[in-house]
Amino acid sequence: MEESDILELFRGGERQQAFNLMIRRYSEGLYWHLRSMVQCHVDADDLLQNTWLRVWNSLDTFRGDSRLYTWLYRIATNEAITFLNRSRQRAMLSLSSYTREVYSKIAEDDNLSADRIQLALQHAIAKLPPRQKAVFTMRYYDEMPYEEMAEILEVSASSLKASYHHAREKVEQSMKEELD
Amino acid sequence: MKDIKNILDDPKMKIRQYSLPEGYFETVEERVHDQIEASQRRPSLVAILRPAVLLACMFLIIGGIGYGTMKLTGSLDDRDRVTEQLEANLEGIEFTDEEAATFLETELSPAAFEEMLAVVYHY
Repeated sequence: MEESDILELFRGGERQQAFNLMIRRYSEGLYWHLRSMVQCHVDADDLLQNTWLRVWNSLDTFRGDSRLYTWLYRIATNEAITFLNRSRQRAMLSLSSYTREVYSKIAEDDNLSADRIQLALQHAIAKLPPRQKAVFTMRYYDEMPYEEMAEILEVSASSLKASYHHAREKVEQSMKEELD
Repeated sequence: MKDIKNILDDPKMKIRQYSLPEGYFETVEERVHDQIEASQRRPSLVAILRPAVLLACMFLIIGGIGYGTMKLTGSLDDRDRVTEQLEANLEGIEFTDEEAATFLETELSPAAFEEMLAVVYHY
């Protein structure tokens, strides 16, 4: 089922059915996007649920100015950025290190902890600030065009290019330090 | 650093290696609906009033403990003793209406005195 068909159903009053189709079509993509940002299954799952809850509550406000896919990714990305900012603040208040907390969550994932290079990449991503993390993961894993990223993150494509370049340098530096 | 660049550009690295519980995506739709249903469930009147009732009970308990303590230590009787003492001090002191009027006229400002007269004599 295409995006336009889902929207057609929604506009025709079949709100529930359109929403179910959205969940089936976009959950996997949204989950992997969220998982790359928060790096932990439990957190990514919570964020995915919150994203769908927010989508359900604001479906009536979707006017179709942007693509449905873009709108969904924007909601999910904002959920993840808010979560990451709160987690950092909470860690700061409890005088612990947010990065260390994420490292221990990554270590629980057998697929990652078995591979030294993968582990170094995940550690490097964990160190990035939330917004830069979004830019890096969208570009690196999903190879999303800058124009599409600009629509989701509501910033210019040129600033995203600079942000990705900067994030990639940080990741390379961090991996080098860990692997040397 | 060049090696790291090559490692990062390796297509294998760009495949997410995270582990995932089996059948996870099959459960998403159902759990989303459960969550929506839970968020739409209106709380009962008891649940809404519970914090207010608990707070009122707490005040009653604190007030009760305070009253009981004062009663036991005799602090409450102190107020009666003070009143009795004041009445005893004033006993035997007598003044006429004229003396009282002169006292008020000299002690109060002319405006306040006028105001008092207006209240007493309703004019």
